[in-house]
Amino acid sequence: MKSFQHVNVFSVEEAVSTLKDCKGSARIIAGGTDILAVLKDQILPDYPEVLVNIKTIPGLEYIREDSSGLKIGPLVKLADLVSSPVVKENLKVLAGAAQTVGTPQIRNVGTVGGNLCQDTRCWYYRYPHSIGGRLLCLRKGSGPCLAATGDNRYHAIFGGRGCFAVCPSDIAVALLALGAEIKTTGARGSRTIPVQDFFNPLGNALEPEEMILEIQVPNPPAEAKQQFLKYTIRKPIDFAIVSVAVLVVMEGEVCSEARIALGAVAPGPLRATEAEGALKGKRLDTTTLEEAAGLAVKEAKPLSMNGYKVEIARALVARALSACL
Amino acid sequence: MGVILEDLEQEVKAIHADQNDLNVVGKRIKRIEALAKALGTARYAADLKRDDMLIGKALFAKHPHALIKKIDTSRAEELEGVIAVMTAKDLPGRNGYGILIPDKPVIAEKKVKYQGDPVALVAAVNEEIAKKALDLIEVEYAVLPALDDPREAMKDDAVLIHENHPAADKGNILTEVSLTRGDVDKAFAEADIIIENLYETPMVDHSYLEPDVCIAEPDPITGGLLLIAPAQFVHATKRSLAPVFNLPPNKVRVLSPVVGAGYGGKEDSCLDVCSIAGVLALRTKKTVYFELTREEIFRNTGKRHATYIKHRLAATREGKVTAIDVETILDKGAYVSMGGLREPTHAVTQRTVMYAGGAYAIPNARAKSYSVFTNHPYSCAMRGFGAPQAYFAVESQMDELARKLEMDPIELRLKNIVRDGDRTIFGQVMKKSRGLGLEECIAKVKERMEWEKPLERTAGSRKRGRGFSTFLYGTGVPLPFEGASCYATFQTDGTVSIAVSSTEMGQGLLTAFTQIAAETLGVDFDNVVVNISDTDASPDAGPTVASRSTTVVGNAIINGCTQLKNRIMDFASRELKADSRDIDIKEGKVFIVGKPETAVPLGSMVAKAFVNQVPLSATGVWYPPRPTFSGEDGQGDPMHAYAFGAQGVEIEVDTETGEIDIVKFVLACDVGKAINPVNVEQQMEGGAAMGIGWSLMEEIDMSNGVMKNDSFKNYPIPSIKDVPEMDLIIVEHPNELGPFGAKGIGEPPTVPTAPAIRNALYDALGIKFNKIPFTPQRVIEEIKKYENKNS
Repeated sequence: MKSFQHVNVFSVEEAVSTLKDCKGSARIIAGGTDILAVLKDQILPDYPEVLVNIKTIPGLEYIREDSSGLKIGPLVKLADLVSSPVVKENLKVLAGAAQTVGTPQIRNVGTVGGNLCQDTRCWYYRYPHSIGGRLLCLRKGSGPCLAATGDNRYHAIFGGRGCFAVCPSDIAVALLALGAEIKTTGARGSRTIPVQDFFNPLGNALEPEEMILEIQVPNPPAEAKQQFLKYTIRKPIDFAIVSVAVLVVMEGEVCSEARIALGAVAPGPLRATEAEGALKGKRLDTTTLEEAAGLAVKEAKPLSMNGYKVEIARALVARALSACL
Repeated sequence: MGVILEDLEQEVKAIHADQNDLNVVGKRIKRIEALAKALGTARYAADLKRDDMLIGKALFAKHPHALIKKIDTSRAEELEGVIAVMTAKDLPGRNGYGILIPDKPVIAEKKVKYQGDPVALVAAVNEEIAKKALDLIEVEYAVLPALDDPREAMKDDAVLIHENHPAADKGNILTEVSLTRGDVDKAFAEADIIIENLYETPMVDHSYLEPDVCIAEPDPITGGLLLIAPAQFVHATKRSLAPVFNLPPNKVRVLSPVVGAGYGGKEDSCLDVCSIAGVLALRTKKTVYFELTREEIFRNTGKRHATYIKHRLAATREGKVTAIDVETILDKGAYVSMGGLREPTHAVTQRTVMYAGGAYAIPNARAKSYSVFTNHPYSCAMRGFGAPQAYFAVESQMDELARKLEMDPIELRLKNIVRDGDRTIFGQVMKKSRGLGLEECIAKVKERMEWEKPLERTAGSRKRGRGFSTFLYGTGVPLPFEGASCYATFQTDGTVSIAVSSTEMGQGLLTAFTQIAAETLGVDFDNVVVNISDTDASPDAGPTVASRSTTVVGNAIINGCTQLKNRIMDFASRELKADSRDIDIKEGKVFIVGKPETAVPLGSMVAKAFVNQVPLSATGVWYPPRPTFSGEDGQGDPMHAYAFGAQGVEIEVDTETGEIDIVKFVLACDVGKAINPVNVEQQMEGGAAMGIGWSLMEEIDMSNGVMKNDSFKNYPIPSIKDVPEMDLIIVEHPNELGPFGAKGIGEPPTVPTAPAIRNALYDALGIKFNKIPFTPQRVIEEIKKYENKNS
């Protein structure tokens, strides 16, 4: 790893001003489980001179409940999210998603904010610089997407525009199903971004001098059933091939609301709105679930090698829904 | 079925009757080094790094296949803190090394043949400066097309990878090993049934935990070199590298501390790191520390040979296999390594031929294997050494035959397995006296699998299936020099030192050797210390590979200890005034048999012997019957003994997601005699887990010579949750020539897993999976193909 300056900051303002002062040559570090690997492999053409350590900012590690829902500080560790009684009780998909991230060691240092901001796992993008030199691609601002014509077995089946890398965040999928918003602050003030708008085909919506301040999760409808499923090659300690978070509300025999979010299939987590619509007002028998699962992947446009992900996504949607009954 | 378990058990009891008085051998003794490893206090090579050492780094090839036009190191040399920059012109000796043939350059001079070829080396005062220096080296290349597929590379018009290879047969074909037995064409012409399939197995990484490291220290007195590195064959490392350093072998000392696993890889990778650290140390006259990063280990060091196998099998309607005709193409990668030459060292290529017919007595056989250069990492030894590939094909073929005949797959195997007096396809007569426990293994697995009970077939997307496979696997290397030496020494207090050049790499060899020495000498386990892997401290015990050490080196230890014991008994007979034939040593005491009152502590007898000019050291040696094998017809007696085994698995495959769960896993291995049953079970578990990784998830992805998955981030190996509980059965049919009857167990458990899972998949889905690994992608794609074909 090349050397860099590691600067501790003690307030959000200081973090933002430090980012600003460094004029684009600084990056934020929290748990460091992703960024250190990015730097070690020197996958990006530009290498930061400064890492701004936000772990030293007090008061960003909270899980707070109020009347509208849950507020989660960006420095909350994934392990704490898993063990939080209120998260386990009300936001089962979120606890479930956090539980599947990496290893206990990673969950003990990895943060909620970091999990949302981690870089993609595309193997062309992540190709290390040390042997043969890093690979440049659309995501790095130079050249075409190498996965589009190359080995794309782990890439997007939805919504790739130019770049076909997928978002690896597990908790983003749960947060999308929960309708969460991400509050940020930066040189140009604060804003609140719905999870679905946080991700874009080449990364996320954060500006270089902006950081996540809070994750706001509205109370799910009372009696909502939730389920998170993640499919990996190796059972634990692996990134998703496909993940799915669903939330189902029943009124008597009939479904009054359903939310379906898919992960690792697109540049960001993806709501399957057509499938959700097909469940609303219906009795959830096997045929209806299968139909919804089919609709969830109807628009999929697999690449040359990842058609199998469509099948897995379809199966996972049906299973997650069925687990909510 | 012809197998009655009780009969077998009677027979085995009789075999073991004379081993009931063993005190140490056969006991479940805790591994000697386990506690230190668990506490983190065991010292591996990297733990010996000191602050005053220079740090070595290598600049590896940017392209997998290219001519080097120009190298400019001037800017790197000017960097403060850089002590030396070396290119090929700066080397002290031969620019080539290799276990079998010196075809791999220390530093590539004119051409790079894969991305692991170094083009320049740097020694600097710290790692940061060394890395910076690498960035300042400018190399100009003329890129050549990279070859990925050996089937393409062997064609006449393919780009030549080695212009003047010292051993290559023709073009990119390194070598060809053939086997012929009987009249194959006639057997196929007369066959009732012919099964023909293509099989593919992937290149995989050993994934040993400990990285490759070398500390190279110049010896100011001799002018020689000390190399400390994890190595599976210290004496060969010394022999292969002495010419590189322009030193005679007696000035090169190689020392391998405890090793964090090797699986065959550290037979070669130690040469890679030792050559680099060694030339830098000689150049700078300073101690140099050189370590490969995990990504470099993935890209540079050896891999398991990928293979492409065309397997034809002929049989009668009654289920007797009459012939096989097999062609195997191996991806050699860029250098020979342990791939095998024409004569005399056929190595991995030979095993693909030798095991092409499995554990069966097949009268007619033709097998041809081609080892072909590509621009991939060199393929080397890896647990099983070509056998897992061969068995994947032949055990899948047997399953297909059983299905075609509508015969139980176990019954079919029992009709064909080798029994006492039968010949294998390589012409060796299998002897009961060397241990032939295959039938017992099959019977036990069958029983534990509850094979007679029909499998419960489930509705829905989770389909159940079960599969079976068997193996025979040779103990030791089929080389003319096969054998081992060691030193055995009595200290004057009666404690014992064994010096042996084998490597403890997690397999439990220290413990097994200690048990063998203690049992032979009649001393306590705690009174024996085995010193390992130092070329200056012990004679050549051969490589720690080929499931050979417990057996071959164990016999050398028995030989050394027996010499010592005889000297002490001889001396004691004079002291106790008795015939030496009446003297014995047990539990640390010397006594006249039948007269317990004569017992003298061994320590005082040894001390007395010492002052009476009785030598207390002996060189123990053992050689098996000289191995034979001809690369022309593939006939011979390559190994003196064979381990046998059988495996059954029951799986659940999810047809919607492609997920495979192993729900039942039974493995029985005939090991002759378990010197330490705990070690044997651990070898079985570890080997089988490796087989599961190979079957389900591991595959090095190469495209145009470039590796896409070069770290554990995208190269999955099984976690504890991917490995099922295993039902392990140790079967013991003693080998008359093995120590206490032992045969090798290190590699065999890796062999049967993939075909057993493949056959279970077929059973569950009715679909042939002839390409490993069975990833969800492949499972789903094959199901789709099958559905499209049948709709």
